[in-house]
Order: sequence, then structure tokens, then C-alpha cells
Amino acid sequence: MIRPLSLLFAAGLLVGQLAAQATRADSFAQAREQSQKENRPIAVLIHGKSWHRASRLLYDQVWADASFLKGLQGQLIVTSIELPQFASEEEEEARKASLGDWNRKTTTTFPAVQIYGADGHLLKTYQGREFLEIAISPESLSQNLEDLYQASQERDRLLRELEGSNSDTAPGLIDALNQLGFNPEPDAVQKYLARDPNDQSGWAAKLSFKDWNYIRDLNTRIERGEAAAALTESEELITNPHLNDEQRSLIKGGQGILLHAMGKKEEAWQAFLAARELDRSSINGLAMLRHGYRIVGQELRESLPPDFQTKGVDIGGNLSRESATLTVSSEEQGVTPERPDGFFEGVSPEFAFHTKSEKGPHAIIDLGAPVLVTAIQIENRKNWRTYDRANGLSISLSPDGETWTEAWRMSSDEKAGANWEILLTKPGESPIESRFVRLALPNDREGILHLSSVNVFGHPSVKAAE
Amino acid sequence: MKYLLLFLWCFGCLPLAAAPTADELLRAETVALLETAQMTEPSQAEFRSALLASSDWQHDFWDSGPIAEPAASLSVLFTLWQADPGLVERPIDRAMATAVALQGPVRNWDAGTLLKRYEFFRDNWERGFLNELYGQLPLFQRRFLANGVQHDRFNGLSSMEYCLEEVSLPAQDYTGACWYSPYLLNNAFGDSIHGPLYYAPFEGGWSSPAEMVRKVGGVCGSLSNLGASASIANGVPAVTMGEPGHCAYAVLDGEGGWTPAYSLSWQRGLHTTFFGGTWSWHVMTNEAFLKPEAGRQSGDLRRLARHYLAGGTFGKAKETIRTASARGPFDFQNWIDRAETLTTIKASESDWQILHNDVLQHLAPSYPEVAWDYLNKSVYPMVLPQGSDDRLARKRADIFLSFHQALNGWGESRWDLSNAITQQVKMVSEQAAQQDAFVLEIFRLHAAEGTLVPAVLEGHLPGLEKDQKRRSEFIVGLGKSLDGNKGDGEGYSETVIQLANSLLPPAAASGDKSTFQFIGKLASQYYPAIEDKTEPFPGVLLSSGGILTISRPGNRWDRPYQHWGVLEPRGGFFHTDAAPADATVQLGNLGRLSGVVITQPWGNHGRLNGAVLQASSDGQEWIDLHTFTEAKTVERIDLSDRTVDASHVRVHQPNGPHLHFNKFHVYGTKRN
Repeated sequence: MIRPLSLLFAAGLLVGQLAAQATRADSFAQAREQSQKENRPIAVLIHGKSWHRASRLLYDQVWADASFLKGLQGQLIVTSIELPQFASEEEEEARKASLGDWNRKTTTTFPAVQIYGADGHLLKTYQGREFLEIAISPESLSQNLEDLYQASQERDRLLRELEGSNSDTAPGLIDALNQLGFNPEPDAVQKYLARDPNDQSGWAAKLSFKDWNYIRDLNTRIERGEAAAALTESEELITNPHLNDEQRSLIKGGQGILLHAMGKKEEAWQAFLAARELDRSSINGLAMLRHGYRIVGQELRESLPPDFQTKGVDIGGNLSRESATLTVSSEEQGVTPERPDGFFEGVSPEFAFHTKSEKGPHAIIDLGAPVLVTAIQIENRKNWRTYDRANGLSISLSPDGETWTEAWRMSSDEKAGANWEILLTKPGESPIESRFVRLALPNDREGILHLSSVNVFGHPSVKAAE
Repeated sequence: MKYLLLFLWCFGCLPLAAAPTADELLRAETVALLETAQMTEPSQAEFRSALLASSDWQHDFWDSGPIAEPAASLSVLFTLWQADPGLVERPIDRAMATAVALQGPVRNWDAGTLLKRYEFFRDNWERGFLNELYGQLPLFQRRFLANGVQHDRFNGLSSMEYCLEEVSLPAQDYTGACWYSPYLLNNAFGDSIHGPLYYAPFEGGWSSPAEMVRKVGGVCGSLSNLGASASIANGVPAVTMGEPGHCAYAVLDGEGGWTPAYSLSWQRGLHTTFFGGTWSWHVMTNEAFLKPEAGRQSGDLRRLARHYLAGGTFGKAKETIRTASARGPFDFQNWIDRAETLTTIKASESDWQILHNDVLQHLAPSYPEVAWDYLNKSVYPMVLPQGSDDRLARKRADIFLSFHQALNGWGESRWDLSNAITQQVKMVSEQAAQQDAFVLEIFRLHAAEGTLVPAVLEGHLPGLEKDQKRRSEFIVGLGKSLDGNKGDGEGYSETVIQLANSLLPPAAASGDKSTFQFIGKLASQYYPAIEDKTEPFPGVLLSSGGILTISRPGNRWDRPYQHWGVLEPRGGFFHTDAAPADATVQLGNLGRLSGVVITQPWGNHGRLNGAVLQASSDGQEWIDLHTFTEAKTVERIDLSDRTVDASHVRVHQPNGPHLHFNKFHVYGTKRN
């Protein structure tokens, strides 16, 4: 026997299900009115079906399809806005009433779909590729909108609870609210700080973080002499759990910029390397490393430029910076010291040595002990008008300074530029053990060799270690 | 000329007994090109047949604007056809392939790149992703799609695909697509866009260079190229263009014309050019080929004229090409062929005079710049008498005056008339008196209508700077030319003021910045500077070099000749007389505002109370910045804590008819 209470409950469910059905409104203005009255969110398709065939297909075959509406179990109000092409002023004026308070600037490409809360807040916009991916069928679109509807109901509940929350309960509610993935609430930061004054949730700081403008602001603070204070603040900011890796990478790179401004070059370089490690999937980490290499890494000679293709070869460390020495085939301008200024370390000069004009001018670098050379970076004389004097440059390696093996040579049609980064070890091959590196111009013609700096990269020799 | 010889050769092969039909001539032209391009291999037979079987296709190829390298274009077309032989049956795809073929040699892109470009449009049209405007374009306008924009990084497929998905707009909105990228002179690291480091850290970080520019930012060059490439990627023709110290672009509008975007000047040098590079040339050539039938008719007549020429029937050749230039005056190839024909047949001076008169009749009223360029290069050398005696100088002056008589204001677009007048003056005579007299004649011609008067003065007055006596006499001469000025020999200041009073308000109303600046500055010598000490705001004086418009200028209290000074450090005066009262500054430079300084003359300061200071980025939609209360002689409105980017700033008084300022100074940083 079915008890009356159960019957009543079942009937209630049925009524609830009948009521819980999406409905269509003729215009956005009408949808907003209904939304406010009935406390229901809105889904709006913005399209240009009169000037965009894909929009027309989407409208006719997805949005207007009965199965789309059927797939929406929640009480969404569904409407659409058509953006006309070359409408007259009179036509635009006539449209205004139907658009209500819809803001054209909230979408940047069409077609697009937006979800608005009953309070009029724009919760989410799907546009461009993101929209195309969810709008492949009526079912796919309705499923996505249904999910958003459910999330909007949860948002309403959380906002109500937040209204009556205190500093103990607010952080959890704020966190849950922001995990929904909607656009930030209007005046979110002020609202959260009112309930969570110490920002225990971390969301006030997260929403205040300005991505690349954060870096712009750091430059301003450096100009004001506030680098140290900004560095301290960044240490706390980077621990915010809501920041993503891209944002943390910016903060870490920002620390590199601050440290560089404070004259702490090695620490700065480590920060730029760490920024890249934090974010290997987006441009932020790489941009930070590229910038770091330019302002400090290059000078420290710690590595080759970030864009250099090592092809999986571990190029090791800088073997020449600390104790390598140089001898040259001839000297045009005074005696060349064993370690010319800036040639192996520090900031490189216009040129560090200058041979006479002769056949086969060369410079030999003694690394002090046998090592495994993997890569070499050479900086040409800085005056670009003399770049081509280095045409035909070659690199040879030797264990004893007597027998040489050519490891690299510029091709005959190649023009010398400002610098070279050369991988001497091919993937899968072992580096040649060498102590001496010879940089030379061809023997068959007279030439002048003058370079600004050299960095030899590689690993200590196993034999030497033994 | 090389091009003409090719046709002379090809038409020379046709029988002359009876004039061949237009289709026969068209076919002969195509056959000749197939041979020149060495497309005679058996493997190319099917392409040859398809092309020769379709007179529509041949017309598209030959009669849709100039062809830089016909043989190279035909070779590209063959490549595209090889990859997609079915395009012959699809008119839209065939037209796009032909457009790509015509522009290929201009861009010097390889065949693979051109094929991908064609396929991008073909496939996205098929998918329904392009704007429907694309389906209606005449072939000429497709050439802008094929050509792409100035910065090649935006022409790659990745950028086009990005723009297709992420910047798909109603066609009229592409004029605002440049603002999808933020205007930033320095990147986040502080490196300037004018060096190599601005984009370097970000290269390769996004799906395409277009996305990188959108996310990283740029200045006018990057922004305009992004806006134009977004339009092109969606099948809406657009073109980038250079302006003095600036870069802008233009987008095809719904009427088949073009709307300038982010444009600050009429002096535009387009980056996709056909016969000539300025805006006049662009608008005219677009008009010529808007209706394909017009281009075809011109092409048919040119081919017939060449046929007659090749056969030695010079009279018919001359008449036929004359008919072409009369029926299709905006297809500049008609005029080129006409001058070449007259040269080839060693035509008489009277033939050249007929050509001269035809240019004045058919071309000068609508496109005076094109007419001037053509006359100067091709016709004047044949009709201007040479020699230094007065009679010949008079004759030369008369010929140039006939040019001025033929003008209809600016015609379809503003052009550098001043420069043309400077050249004319030099050609008329080397004697100062004759030069000045000639310019006064031009001045009198244009004085009644007024539009061209500032350009006349701009063309001649700067050259008189070093000779003040000559300059004064010339200005007195101007005064005598004006109605109501007796020209008593002392009244040149009155003349200038009279000119400024009559010219500045209409120049301001029409947005004619050049005239407003030139005449306003000229008149500023004749009223005193305002001696007050007002504290400027940071940045530059953005209002300087701009335009001031007011409600009901020239009323009994107003002094229009002082309007220019109101925007400049020296100050000036204006007085409105209509409710609501507006005083609007179109800034000399787009800018981010830091503050506004307004000074009023003594008395009646309260008339400013209740007025609103507003800013706009387009002169249409305004945002409120400040409401005036308890107004004083000097009002300083600090906007440094606001982010306001504006091209226009105005004071709007809804409550009364009177605003009167000595200075209306807008400060900030340039954003163009």
C-alpha cells in the first residue's frame, strides 16, 4: 500500500521536475526581467546569423533544436542576441530596448554564449575556440550549460552563507565560491576582506595579482628605491596557494629583477632559472628566463641562451671562466695577456685580442686540464662593420696542443654575425677529451682575428677526476 | 611599355579585315600570355583548356586591376589549379585563386605559401567561418585579402586562424579591432617597442604572432596590423597604411567603400597599392572595379585599341582608347594606355590637348590628385609651352588655371593640393611678381567656395617667409580679392583675421585639422597671448595641434580667429551661444589624460557651473570626468588617478548657452 505521505512527496518531485525546466525568452531584456522576478540564471547566445554561416548553423541546428532545451534540466532562461552587420542608426536604436543592460564589450568574438546570475552578474563567457569546443552538438552544449546552471545554484547558496559568515567561516566559503570557476564577484576583494580581514582564504591577494602588470609595478618600485621591500612582499605572495604556476613564475622572475637591481647577480640568475622551472608550459617562465639571461645570465656566463637547442645533450658548466688561458698567433696592439679583460669572465670588451693580418691567424685556449668539451659560445668583435672578418672561422680540439681535430667550421656561404653558439657534441655521442681549443681563420688567405669573448662548456674529464 | 609591346605582338597576329570580337581579343591576349609563360607542356593542356573555355575567368584575370607580372601570376594560378582543379566550377573559389595569383608576385611569396593562403579562404568559406561579405566581393577587393597586411608576421596561417576564431566580428566592427591589443610603448620589462627587445622574450609563446601582439601589446603599427589582419582573416578586405608619424588601416564598408580606422590624418600611404599609393588612388581604383562589368568593358576597349594600334589603324586606336577613358575614367589603365598610344603614333599637339581636356572633364572633378599626377607626368610635358617670355608664362598659367577651374572642392578625398600649387608656381615663371599674380588668380577662383583656399595659401605663403615685403604685398592682394575688403594697402592683418573667421569654424566642423592648424596659426600673430600662469599637468599638451569646435561659432561675442589659440600655450578666445553649449577639443594626439586646465576671462565665471567635463575615444560616446561647481577663472581638473584614454574632450553645459574660455588645455601622454 502506498502511504499518502509518499504520494505527496512523489507528486512534489514531479511538480518540481516540471518546474525545473529551461524556458526561452524573446529578448535579453525580457530574460533579465524574468530572471530578477523568478531568481533564475540566464544563458544567452550572441551570434551573427545574418552575416556568419557557422553562426546560422549553430543557431538553427543547436540552439533552436528541441533537444538542446530538453537537455537543460535546470531552470535556465534561454535567449539569444543577434549582432547585425551594417545596421542603420534607426535599426540600432530599435534594438536597444530588446538588449536591456547587455554590455557589448563583454564579448570579443562571435558566436559566444554567456551565463548570467539572477543578480545580473556575468558568470562565464564561452567564446572563440573554447565555445566551438562545447558547441559541437545540442547535447554537448546543453550538458555544459547544465553544469554551469548547477554551479550557479551553488554560487547563490555560498553567497547567502557568506552574508552571515564570520572570520572563521568566511575563508572556506570564499574558497568554495572561487573554486566554481566563474568570473570574480563584483567588488570581490573588498567583499572578501570585509568578511575575512586577514585574507586567510588568500583570494583577495589572488584576485589582486595583476600578472604582467605586477612586473611593471616592480620596475616602478625599483625606481622608487623600494626593491628590498618588494622582495620581502614577494616572498609571502609566492606562497599563496591559489596562484597558478604561471603566476608564481612571474613572481619568481620578479624576484630576479629585484635582486638584479640590488646588485645580487648570482641570486638573480638563480631566481630566473627557478622561474623557468616553475612554469615550463606557458610563455611566462621562458620570457622570464630570456630576460634574465639578457640582464644577468649572459654576463655571468653560466649557460647558453635559453633558446639554444641543446638537442638533449647535457652541456655541463662553464669550463673556461675560472682559469683558462689564451695565446694568440700574433699581436697587432700590444701584448695579449693570458687572461684578457672580459674574455673569459665579466663584461666583454669591444675585442679582447687583435692579431696581425696574416694567413691562418688563430687563438689557442688552454683549459688547464683534459676535459669533455660539449659546446662553445663565441662573441665576435662588437663593431658590426668588422663581423665579416671572422668569416671561415673554425674550432679545433687537442689533448696536447700538438695534434688537432677540427670540430666545427663555418660553411663557405655563411656570414659571420655577432656571436655563435655551437654544440660540439652530437646527441648520443661522447664528447672528445681535450685540453686545448683553437679558434682559427683559414690558412689560404690573409685575415685578422679579433674576438670579444669565449665560453667553453663541458664536463670535467673522467680521467682527470681519477 | 614592355606590356604594351606584348599586346602589340599578340594582336598583330589577328586579321584586320574585320574587327575581331571582344571575346576573340580576350582569348588572343590569354593565348599570348600562355606562350610567354611557357605553359605549352602537355601536362598543362587541361589548365589551358579550362582557362580558355571561360571568358569570365579570363576577364577576372585581366580586368581586375593592374597585373605586376602577368606570366608569374599565370604560373601561380596554374599551381593553385593543379592542387584544386575543381575551383573552375566554383566561382567564389576561382575568383579567390585568381586574386592570390595576381598578388603572389607582388608579395614575392613562394607557391606553397600562396597555395595555403588560397586554401585558408576556400576551406573556411566552405565551413561557414568567413563573414558572408566574402561571398559578394568583386575580384579586385579579394586582392586585399590575398595581399595581407604590412607586417608579414600577421600573414602566416597561425595568425589568420587565431584571428578567425578569436576576433570574428560584424564587418563594421573591425575598425575597432586594433584595440584588442593594449597600447604599450614599453613591454613589462621596460623595453621599448622601437628596439629589438620588445617582443623577443615572448616569441613563440602563443599560438601565433597575432595572439602574441594581442597579449603583449604594441603601438600604432602593431595595433593597426592586428586590426587589419583580423578583418582579412575573416574575409573582410582591409589594408594597412602609413600616416605622418603614425600607422593606421582601413576596412571595406557595407557600401563597397572603405572606412579609415585609427586614422589621424588624410595623408595616407597605403601598403597595398595598385596604380598609386595615396588614399585618392585607393578610393578611385576601388570605385573603378567595384562593378566587374565596368572593368571588363574597359578591358575590352583597351584590347580593341591595341589591336588597331598593332594593325596601324591609328585613328581608330586613338578613338577607341579615348572612348575607354571616357567610359571608365577611374580605371587608370585607360589613361596609361591612352598616353602610350599617343606617344606610339606620334600624335599631334591638338591630340594631347584633347587628352588634357578629357582629364579635366572626366577625372579632375572627382579625383583631382590622380588628374594632377597624370597631367604632370604624362600630359604637361606635351602641352605646356616652354620659354621665359611673359606671353608663354601667361599661357602656362592659363593651363594650370583650367585645372583649378575643373576642381570640385576636394573631390572624393583630400590631397596635397598645396604641393601641386608649389610645383605649378615654379613651372609658370621664375619671376616673383608673376608667381604671386598666378596664385592670386587661383585664390580668386577658389575664394567663393572657400574649401581650397587654405591649401592655396599653404602652398605659397611658406615660400615667402624670407621676404616680408613680398609677403605683405601678397596678403594685401588677397584682401583685395575678398568681398567687403577694400584692400587699402595696410589691411593685411584684417585680411588674415577675415580669412580665419570664415575658415576656422567650417574646418573644425569637418575635422579638417590641416586647415584649422594652418589658418589658426597664421591668425595668431594678430591677437595678444594670454598672460596668465597656469600650472600644467604631467605629460604633453595633448590639445596642441588639435581642433576646437563650439556651439554656434561666429556669434556676436565669438572671435573664431582666436579659436586655435585656445588649445595652445598662448591662449585665445571663444564664446558659445546655443543651449546646450558644447566646446569640444579633438586632440592633436590620442592620449591617456593626466589633467585639464581651463581658464576663463574675467566675469560670468558661474556660467560654467553645472557643466560637465567629458571624454570620448570616438567623439560619439562620452564619459563624465568632472562636474563644475563654484567655477573660477582657472579650473584645474586632475585626472592622474583615472585611466582615461581619449581622442576628444569636451565641456558640455546642459543648463545654458554660454561658455567662454581663453584656454582649454588637455594634458597627458600620447598613445599613437
